[in-house]
Amino acid sequence: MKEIESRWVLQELFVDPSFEGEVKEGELFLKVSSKGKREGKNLKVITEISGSVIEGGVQVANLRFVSLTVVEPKRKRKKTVLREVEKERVRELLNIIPLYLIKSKIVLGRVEVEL
Amino acid sequence: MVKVKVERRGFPPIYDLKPSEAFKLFKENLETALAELPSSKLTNKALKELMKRKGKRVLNRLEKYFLKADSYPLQARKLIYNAFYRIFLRYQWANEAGSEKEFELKVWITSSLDYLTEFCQILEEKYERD
Repeated sequence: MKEIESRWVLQELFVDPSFEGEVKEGELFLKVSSKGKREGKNLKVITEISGSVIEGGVQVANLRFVSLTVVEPKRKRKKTVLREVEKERVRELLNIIPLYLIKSKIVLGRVEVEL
Repeated sequence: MVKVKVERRGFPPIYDLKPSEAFKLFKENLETALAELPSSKLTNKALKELMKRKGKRVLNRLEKYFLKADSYPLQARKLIYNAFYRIFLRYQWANEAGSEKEFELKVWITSSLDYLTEFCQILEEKYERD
């Protein structure tokens, strides 16, 4: 599978202005949804990721990101391609989110991801 | 330690849909929601009757408007996406409400129609001036 194009077409982060500081024993809860559309031999994949940063049972930030990815699936099944793209985008998002949060004075502690 | 939890969302992505396509999906959801309400209750029957007459008028008006909105600038289409996102999210919540499902669906039907009507009015004022 080859990735031809990928960009984040929508990036939204809403924060609770009363919260400042570090999220230590928190949770990053993400919900993923994706859809593929054939374009010739390419597959256009839309991935929507929404979620929230939770600290002490309170949502301190909500986010919504939409990504547009064009891949050449070669011989893979559509469902497999969607899952792989989703996984890739979630990883990418986990790298961007701390930067976004720092701008709003929220520091994300050590993140634990299950592979 | 911040734990990361990833789950699958209940409804498919709607970002690539045009306003009219998103509205079509909304209309389909509305019809399924209406069909799910048992007619044995008087309030349900009343709502169904209302949707047959007044509801149809409202839906037609909205449908016409969203067809026009297909050619709106990106900024406006993002607002429309946002509106539909909220509606579909609430529909999912209503469906997952368990014993309160019937009541939540009823609230969803009426409130989302009101919300869309008001939303369209504001959008029209902003983008149809010239």
